[in-house]
Amino acid sequence: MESQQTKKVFTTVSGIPLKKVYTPEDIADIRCKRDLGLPGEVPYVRGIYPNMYRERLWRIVQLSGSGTPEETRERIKLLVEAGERGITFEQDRMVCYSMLDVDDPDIVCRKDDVGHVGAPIMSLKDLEIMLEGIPIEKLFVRWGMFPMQISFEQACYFTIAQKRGIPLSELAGQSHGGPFNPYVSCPVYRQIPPRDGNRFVCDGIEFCIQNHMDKWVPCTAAGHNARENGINAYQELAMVLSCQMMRIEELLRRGKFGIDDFAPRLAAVNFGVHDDFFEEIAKIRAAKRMWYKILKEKYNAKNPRSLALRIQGLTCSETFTYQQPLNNIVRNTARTIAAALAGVQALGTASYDEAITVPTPEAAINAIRTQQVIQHETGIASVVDPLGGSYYVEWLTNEMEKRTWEYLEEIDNHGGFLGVLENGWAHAEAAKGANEWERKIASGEWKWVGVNCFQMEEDVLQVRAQPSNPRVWEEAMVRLEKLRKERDNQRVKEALAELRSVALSEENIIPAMMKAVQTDVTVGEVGNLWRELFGVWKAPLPL
Amino acid sequence: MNLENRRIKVLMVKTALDGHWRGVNVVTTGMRNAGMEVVYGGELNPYQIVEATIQEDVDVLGLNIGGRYHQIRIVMDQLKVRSAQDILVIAGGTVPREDIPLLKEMGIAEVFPPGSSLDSIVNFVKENVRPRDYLTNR
Repeated sequence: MESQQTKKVFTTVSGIPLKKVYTPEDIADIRCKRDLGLPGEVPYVRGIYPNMYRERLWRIVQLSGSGTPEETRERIKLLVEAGERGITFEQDRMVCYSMLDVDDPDIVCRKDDVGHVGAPIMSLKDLEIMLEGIPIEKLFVRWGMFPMQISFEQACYFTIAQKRGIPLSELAGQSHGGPFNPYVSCPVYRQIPPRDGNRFVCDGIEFCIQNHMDKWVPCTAAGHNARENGINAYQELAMVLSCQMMRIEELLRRGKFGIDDFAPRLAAVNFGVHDDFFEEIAKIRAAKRMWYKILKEKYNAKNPRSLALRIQGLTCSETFTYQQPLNNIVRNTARTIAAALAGVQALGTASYDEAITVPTPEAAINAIRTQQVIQHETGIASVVDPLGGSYYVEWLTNEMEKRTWEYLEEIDNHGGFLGVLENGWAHAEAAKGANEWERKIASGEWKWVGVNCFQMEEDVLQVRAQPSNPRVWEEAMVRLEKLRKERDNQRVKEALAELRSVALSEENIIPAMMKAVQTDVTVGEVGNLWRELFGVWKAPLPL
Repeated sequence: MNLENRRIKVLMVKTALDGHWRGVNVVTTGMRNAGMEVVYGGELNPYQIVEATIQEDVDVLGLNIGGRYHQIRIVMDQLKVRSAQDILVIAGGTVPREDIPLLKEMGIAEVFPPGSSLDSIVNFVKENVRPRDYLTNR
């Protein structure tokens, strides 16, 4: 049978050649204290906290969004009741990421698509509707997506917190910050250049330090978007580290804060958790050790919170199949176990119907249950770093680290992190990886159950698509017109003038943005201002 | 003129603003490897798509579907209005199975959901592309 052919060459999914078995000789160079330590001790490879899940399980953080702000709110409530402790809001891309109001011609001609994957949040008022009744002080909230819009969204969210009497220092959560999604894997339409986006990201970091927002990560670096676009495990790790180093350099250049003031904010990243079980574990372990080395040796950080890397995983749904979608539950399970063995602090699991539709409620709940079963029924939380000392896992962690250092050098040689975004090298690498993967699937070199092996004419279970609300655009237009009529348009004009002046200076944009959102300025009005000031950037896709 | 030597020309476009280009990249590469000429039109609205289809004088229009179908309907209607209905239109993307008949009713010749092999796409195009009539230039 085709699936029982023995492969002649064994490699990880990222191409690392593998021996039949690993022995003490393969890790003879390891010095336990220097290279492994104990959980909660440098170099943190065995866990950033001494007790890890014995004390606190990883946080379940799920992505959700669809329809109107009210409908998104209902889905969030459903998932909170089911046990998620963190939310990642997905929003309407056209409105929120591209910063366009729903009456922009580019949206009007695509009005049917508005609300397909998330709500069109155009103003502070819209966000208030979406968050009504949601106890944000009790949840870890991922909000504020990409560099272009990050200040607008942070300003809206922080303003709501203040209005509710929640001190900013109590807000727990994270702004996403990209950078791979908006600049490489899903380039945002009509966005400003990466360089200018980086300015806004760094303004957010500074604002958080000034306001003692210890529980808020002002921007993470999300590797999973790059991973889903075609790059491999060590390329992903290198890109994430390179991105954070770029932000560190910018903050050091600004000279307002020392490394230990802001590094704790940046010691929080996001990785995809992909097919290859042990490779993903090795990647996440290597990430912790490399972060420690970079912060200590390159930047001379001393604060343990600067040196210990907090990691959120997201199970990659790139290889989730359209065919036989229930198999994706198994894929999700394997990835969740890998993430737990690697010691992540939070995990988002994709839904089994990801390749077909915006998640149905049953698939969204199953994604949460997958994590809960593993957390509570497998015993995996009882011992910290259970794979520590495994000949294979320690060897692979070392190998992952070695290849990542090499790729970091390649990124530098091709222009540095901002450079590879602007010159298209990052995009070309992703395209190369995606084509290579396609070739391996087509040839059968890699098995993909349900697609190139164990196919079925008819799926056993038909997964229905999630019905979506076709009237989101109309409702958004009504809200927008009402907003513009009822607000004080003179105040809006003044707020935009102030934003313009601050944006063109070296001042932090957030205070002016918080004032502006309270005048009911819209996302499109701010977006148009940004486009006017900084220009529109088109991602250099190799197509 | 030996029609078999003429390269099949394809215009690939995205109908929604979701930004994903991996599928477009992989299919474009597959088609180019099979000897086709492929132009990537980018993220275009339905009228721009039809205009580009005619301007580029393509044999095949490949639609990457990332949203709903209103735009698709406009594209198919406009192709008829502009007398370009002979162009082979194929589509790909995360399209639920139950929606495939609906898209075919609109005139899309075939829909290739996730997991479709590049061979199946390339072969479908080769077998279904309509030969040009050089006397009428269509």
